[in-house]
Amino acid sequence: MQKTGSGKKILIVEDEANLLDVLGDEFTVSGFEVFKAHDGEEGYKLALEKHPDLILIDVLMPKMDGITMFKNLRKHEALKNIPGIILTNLNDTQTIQDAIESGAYDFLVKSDWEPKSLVKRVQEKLGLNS
Amino acid sequence: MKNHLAKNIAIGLVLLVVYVVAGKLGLKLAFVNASATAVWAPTGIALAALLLLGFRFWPVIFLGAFLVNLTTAGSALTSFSIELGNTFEATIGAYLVTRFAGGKQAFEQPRDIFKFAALAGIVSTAIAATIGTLTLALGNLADIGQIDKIWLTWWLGDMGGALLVAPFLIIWSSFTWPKKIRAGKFFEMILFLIMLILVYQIIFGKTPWAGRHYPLDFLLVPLMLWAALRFSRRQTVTAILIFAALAIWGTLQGFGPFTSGSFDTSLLLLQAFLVTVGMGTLTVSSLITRQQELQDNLISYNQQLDQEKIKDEALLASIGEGIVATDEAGKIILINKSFEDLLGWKEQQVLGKHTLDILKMQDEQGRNIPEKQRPLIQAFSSGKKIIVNYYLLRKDKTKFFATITTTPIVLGGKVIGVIKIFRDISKEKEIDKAKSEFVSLASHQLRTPLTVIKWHSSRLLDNWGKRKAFSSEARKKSIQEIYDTDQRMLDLVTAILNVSKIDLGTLAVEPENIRLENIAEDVLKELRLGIQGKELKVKKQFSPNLPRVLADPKLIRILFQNLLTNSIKYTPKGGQITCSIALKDKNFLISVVDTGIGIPAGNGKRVFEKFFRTDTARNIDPNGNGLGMYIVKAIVDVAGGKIWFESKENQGTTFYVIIPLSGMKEKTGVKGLAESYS
Repeated sequence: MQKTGSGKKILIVEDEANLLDVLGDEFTVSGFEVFKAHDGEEGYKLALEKHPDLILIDVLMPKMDGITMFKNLRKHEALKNIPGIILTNLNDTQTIQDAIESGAYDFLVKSDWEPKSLVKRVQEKLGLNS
Repeated sequence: MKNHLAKNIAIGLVLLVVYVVAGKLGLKLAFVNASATAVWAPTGIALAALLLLGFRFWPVIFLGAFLVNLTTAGSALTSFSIELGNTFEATIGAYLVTRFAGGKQAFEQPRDIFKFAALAGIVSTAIAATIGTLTLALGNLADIGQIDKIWLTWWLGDMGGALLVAPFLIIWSSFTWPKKIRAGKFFEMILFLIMLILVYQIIFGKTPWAGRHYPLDFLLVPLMLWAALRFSRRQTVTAILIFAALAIWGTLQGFGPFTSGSFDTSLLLLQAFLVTVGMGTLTVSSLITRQQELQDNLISYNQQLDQEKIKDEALLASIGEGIVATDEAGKIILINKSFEDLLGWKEQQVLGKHTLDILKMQDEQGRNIPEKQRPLIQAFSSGKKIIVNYYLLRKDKTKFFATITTTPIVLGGKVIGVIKIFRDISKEKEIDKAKSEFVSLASHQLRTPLTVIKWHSSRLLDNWGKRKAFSSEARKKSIQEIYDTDQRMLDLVTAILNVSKIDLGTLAVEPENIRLENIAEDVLKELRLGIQGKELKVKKQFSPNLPRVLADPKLIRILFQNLLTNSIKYTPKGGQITCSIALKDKNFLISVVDTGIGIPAGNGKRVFEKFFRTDTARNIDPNGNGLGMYIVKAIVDVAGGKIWFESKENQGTTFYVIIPLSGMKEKTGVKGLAESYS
C-alpha cells in the first residue's frame, strides 16, 4: 500500500488546518509526496515551485479562492495539464459551473468523501494500481 | 286609540260641514230642478274625501247628502234615495279610481288622468244621475217631460264636481311648503294671474262685444298651456279652478260665449267646456311634470354616476399595484396612478396604444419575451388568467422585477379585453436571493465541521489496532479534534438559529430594568480564563452615574460576549482591552478598545454581514462562523442604536455602540436569542 503513491507529488490547498493535516497524512502514508498550502496564494506559489502531479483544491479560502487559483495556474504553459480536483463543501450550481469552466476535471463535495477514498480516486486519475 | 278615534271624528265633522255648505251653495244654482244642479261641487268633495281619507268615511257623505237634500224637496224616502245615489256615486267612483286609475296618484300619469275622467267623471256620475232622476220621477218630484234634461243636468253637474273639484283637492292633499320660491317664478305667477283675469274679462267680462256670442273661449287654451308648461301641477289645477269659478260667475251674470236661453243650459255648456279644457290642461301638466321628474332623475343619476366615477378613480389611484386595461384589440383603455409611477409613462402617452408597444418584458437573463409568450397574447387565446414573473421595462429603459397577473375580461363568452395588474417584487426577489445564499453558506458552514468529524473518525476506525502507524498520542489528538469540532458545530447551530430569528423578524425582546455595566462585568468574569491565558490587561471604565435602562438582558449579554470575545481572540498575548460605558447626549456610549490585529481597510460594513470573515481573522481562528457581528448589529438595531468601528491593521480596533437611554421596546416573538457557550 505504501508503494502505490510511487512518490507522485500531490498539492493540497485547504484553509481548514484540521482537514489539511488529516488528508496530508493519508496521502503521505499512501506513498505520495505531499505539499500543503493554507490559502490560494500560498497554493499558487507552491504549485509554480513544485510542479505537482495533481492538485486538490478547496474553494472558499482567504486571500485567493481555489477556483481563481486554479485558473491562474492554467495560464502557465508548464502547468496547463496538471489535473485539478475541486474539493469543497459548496455545491450550489454557480460554484459547480465555475469549477468546470476553470478546467478542473473533478468536482467533489468534501463531506461525501473519506480521506481513504480520496486517495483511491487520485490514484485512479494518475493511473496507479492500488 | 282614543286619539285616533277623536281625530277621525274631527275630520268627519269638518268633512260634513264642508260637504253640506258646498251642497247648499250648489243648490242655489239649481234651475231645472231644485235637486239637480248644474254645478255640484259635493261630488268632487265626496270623491276626494273617500280617496284621500279612506272608504270608512262613507257614512259622513251619506249624512251630508241627507242634510243637504232634507231641506230641498220631497219626502224622507226620496231624500234617502238621492242620498243613496250620492253616496253610491262617491263610493263606486273612489273604488274604480283606486282599482284602475292609481287612486290618489291618478294625476301623475296622463294615462291615469284619462281613466280618472272616464271612471269618476262619466261612469259613476251617470249611475248617481240615473238613480237620482229615477227617484225624482218615481216620487213625482220632477216633470216627466223634462226627465232627460234633469238627468243630463245631474250628470254634467256631478261630472263638473268630479273633474274640477276632486283633482284640485287630491293634488293639493300632498302639499308641503316649498323650501324656496324663486323671485322669477313668483313674478311669472303674478303675471299669469293678471293674464288670467284679462282673458276672463275678454271672454266672460262686461265688454262691448259681450252678448254677441263671439267664440272667444279659445283664448283660454294658450293660457292653460302656459300654466301646464311653466307651473307645477298644483298651481295649474288651482288656475283651472279659479278660472272655472270666474267663468261660472261671469256666465251667471249673462256674459260670455256660453250664455243661452236658460242658466241651466249656459252652465252645462260652460261646464262641458271647462271640464274638457281642465282635463286637457291637467294631462299636459302631468306630462310636463313627469318629464321634469325624469329629467331631474336623470340629472341626479348623472351626478351620482359622476360621484361614483370620482370614487372609482380615487380607488384606482390608491391601489399600489400598477393596473392597465385593454380593449379586445389589446389597446390600452385605462391605467392607474401606480402604472404611471412604476413605469414613468403618462396616461395621455399610452391611451390607445397597443399594450405590447408600451409594456416591454424581459426574462431574468435580460432577453425580450417573444410575442407568443407574452401573457397578453396567451390570455387572449386561452381565456385564462396568466401569472408570470418578468422584468418590466420603464419608459427610460430601466427595469424592475415584477409579478404580472393578466386576466381576460370575458363578456358573453368572448374575450373583450384584458386587465393586467403588476407589482414590483424586486425586494421579494432580493430577500429570496439572500435566503438561498444563506442556506447555501449555512450548509457549507455546517458541512465543514461534519467533514472534520468524519475524516478524523474514519482515520480512527481505519487504524484501529495499528499501534505503530497510529500512536495513542495521535489518537487522542483526533478524538480531541472531534470533540472540539462538535462544540463548534453546536455554537454554529445556535448562531444560525439566532440569525434566522433575526431574519424572519420573530426575535422576541423582553426588556427588564437592568444595568449595562453589571452585564459587562459578568461577561468579563466568564471570559477570565481566556484573558489570563493570553496575559491580557483588561481595563474597565464605567461612568459612575450610569442610570438603569429597560433592555433585554439576554440580548445585551450576547452583545458584550461577541464584542469582548472578538477582542480577546484577535489580540496577541500581553495586549490590552478597554471596555467603557459612558453617557453621551441621550445615549449610552459603549466602546471596546483592543490592541489586536485590526480589521484590514476596505472591509467597512462587510464586517456586519452574515458569514463574512476577514482574511486576517481566518488566519487567527479558522473556526469562527462569521455570524457574531451580524447578530450584534441586529441587537443594536432592536434598541434603535448604532454601531461602528475604527481600526488599524496590527495596531488595534475600537468598536463603538450607542444605545438610547430609552432602551428597548417589548416585542413578543417566537423566542429570544440563545447564547452560545464556547
